[in-house]
Amino acid sequence: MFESFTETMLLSALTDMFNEMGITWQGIVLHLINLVILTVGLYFLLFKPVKKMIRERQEKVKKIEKENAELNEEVKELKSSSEKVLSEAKKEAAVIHENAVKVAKQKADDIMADAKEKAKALVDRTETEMDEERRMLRSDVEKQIADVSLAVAEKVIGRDISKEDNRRLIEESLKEWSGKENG
Amino acid sequence: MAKEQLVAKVVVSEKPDDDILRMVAEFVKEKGCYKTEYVIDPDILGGIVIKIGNKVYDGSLRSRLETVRQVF
Repeated sequence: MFESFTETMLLSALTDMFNEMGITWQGIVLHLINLVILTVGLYFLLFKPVKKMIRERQEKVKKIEKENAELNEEVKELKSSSEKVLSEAKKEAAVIHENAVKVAKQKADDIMADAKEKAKALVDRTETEMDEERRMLRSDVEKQIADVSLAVAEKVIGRDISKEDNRRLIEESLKEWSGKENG
Repeated sequence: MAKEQLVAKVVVSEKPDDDILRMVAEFVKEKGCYKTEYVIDPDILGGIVIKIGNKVYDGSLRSRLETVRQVF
């Protein structure tokens, strides 16, 4: 009985408070109906288009991501291809450089060999000319020595030849000439 | 020219003695020459040179030395 009294008192107090605030159960029901109408309206007018827009954007983003992935793949392939081309170009450049070095070295060797050959020919020719000059000089000196020796011999013989030697020379000559003519 | 008209020209470096004269006379006679003309020329140094016509017999020391010179 006490509890029933308390509940009645509490209910009465609440009713008084609501009445003082101007809140009635009709008002609450009307607010609930308004809330439901607003929620339904918002769902169809705002939530659904926004959801659709978000889905479309997500699809767009996915498409862009896919395109990006494809582009990245393509870039990777291009990069790989360009690296391969670059590597081959480097190899080719290395080969060309190596060949150029070989050709240059060969040319340098040829030039050196040619220069050596020319130098050797020049040295040989010079040596030959020097030998010839030396030989001519020696021959000339020998001739001059012979001339001088014979001149000295002439002087000595002309001065020192004895009558006997002269006689013997004449006899030998006459015998030789007679022998040849008769023989 | 007849052989009797040939003159042997004999060149010596000094006056020859009788033996030389005799040997030369015999030689030129062998060559068919009967006249001899002597010339003293010290320039031949020694020995004898005999010219009979176009033929020259040169046994001089100078010619021998020239031969030696040519060898050098």
